[in-house]
Amino acid sequence: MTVLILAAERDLGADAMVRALDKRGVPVFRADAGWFPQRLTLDAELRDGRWVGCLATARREVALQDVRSVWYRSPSAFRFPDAMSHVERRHAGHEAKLGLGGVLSSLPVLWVNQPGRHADAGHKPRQLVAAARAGLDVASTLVTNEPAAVHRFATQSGPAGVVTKMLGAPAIDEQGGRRIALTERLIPSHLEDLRGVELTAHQFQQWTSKREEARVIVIGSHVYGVAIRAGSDAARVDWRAHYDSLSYAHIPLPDDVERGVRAVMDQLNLVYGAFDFVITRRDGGPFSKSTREASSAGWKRKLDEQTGRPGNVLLTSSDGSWCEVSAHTDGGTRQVWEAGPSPLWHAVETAYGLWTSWRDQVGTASASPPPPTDSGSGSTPPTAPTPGRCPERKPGTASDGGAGCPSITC
Amino acid sequence: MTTCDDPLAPAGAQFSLGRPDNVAPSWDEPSPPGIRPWGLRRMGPVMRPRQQWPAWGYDQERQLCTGPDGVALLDLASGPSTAPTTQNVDGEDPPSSEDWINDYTPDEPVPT
Repeated sequence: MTVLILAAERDLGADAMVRALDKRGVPVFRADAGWFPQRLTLDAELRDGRWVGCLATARREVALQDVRSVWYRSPSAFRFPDAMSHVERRHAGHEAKLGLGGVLSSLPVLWVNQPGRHADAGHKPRQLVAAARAGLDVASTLVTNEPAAVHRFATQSGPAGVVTKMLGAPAIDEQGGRRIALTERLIPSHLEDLRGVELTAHQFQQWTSKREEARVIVIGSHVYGVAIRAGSDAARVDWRAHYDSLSYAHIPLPDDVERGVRAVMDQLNLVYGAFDFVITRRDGGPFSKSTREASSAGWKRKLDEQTGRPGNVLLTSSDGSWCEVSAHTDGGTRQVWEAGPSPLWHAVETAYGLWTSWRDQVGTASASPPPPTDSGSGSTPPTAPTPGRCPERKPGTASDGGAGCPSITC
Repeated sequence: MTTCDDPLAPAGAQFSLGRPDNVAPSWDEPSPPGIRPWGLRRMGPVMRPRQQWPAWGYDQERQLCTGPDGVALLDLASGPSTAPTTQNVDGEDPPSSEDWINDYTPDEPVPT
């Protein structure tokens, strides 16, 4: 049975997933919708209530009935011949979406995430309703195209103030480049000139004073929390404004937050999701949900590299391996949980042993660490190791696309 | 709330696709206040330069991105740490997570 990955060609997260699955011996068929129809063909028949047939490229193919699960990772748009008129391309694109997209999305397999549910969850007002119904604390929010409503909401919010943020993408392509508008606190001059509010929907939220923020990542039954600590005024309003000022830490979640997050996932029928929260109290609660957006394992990898703290440590590598190490010792024994093809903690311990051995030899605890070793884990004490590396894939092994098409001619 | 039975997204959005690589940038000029949506009046340039990617290709056999010498980009220590656009969002460096387009097609399918 094959894992189908739908992703753009230039997608290092998908690359890492192919490797991880390859190393585990799981057949993978990766394709981009942008290959359709010229480099990707679909041959599907409806038989006994399900689609059977083949998805094929020039190099490989997969039987639809052999697909065990699908990672739907934002494949790119269909591409059609230049010779087509714009009208023809629109028609072809619509048919392709309903045809290829319809066949694939009706496969009775695990989707991460199912495209329809993914599309529904993209509506931020719906996310906020789901969060509130799940018992999560959601900031007071206004969605309007009425300038008077903005004034009213600002007055209601009082000295706390109001922020504005996009309902969708905060960036546009204009004047030959990309321009962005991050979350911004409203100041009097904003309220004095609201021209353009009436032209489309706008979102405003009551400002919430926060100690720090957190991203909560949900993958199936696994829930992870990562604190995002801002080091500048701009980053305290929107942490995307100043990435260089941020620091990160793996944090446990309050039980009610974890329950709420799981309830939102259930409501929206999602398998994978990422939630952004603000943390308002020193004891870690309450979490106030601000938004939900896509994320990936690559994010976690960066967080881990930057955490480097002696508490609970979560390590991940590009081949999908992870390990978590408890902060507290019990009789000198650490608790280690890990999974995946690379023994990450073993690599860390090895590196630490090499470092302490070398430190003892030179007689100073503050000396620089030795050069990296073949273990690939660098040489610093327990922080994140260099991501594990996989051997070259041998032709004819795991990711060759499954068993072909047994039931119809491909 | 049961989104399966009551989908909010239109049929066209049920299989959302991302913006492809190599689409020519838009040279549209901002409209004056009163015509431009208020939210867009706050737009400013991206704070950090767009990340430079090395020359790359797609290895159909290995099913991943490679550089000119065939080395997987994933293995390049100095390689890009994030996605070029948010069609494959990593939530990492800006502006990777800032231009997600939920439903690129069928509204604007592109030529090859």
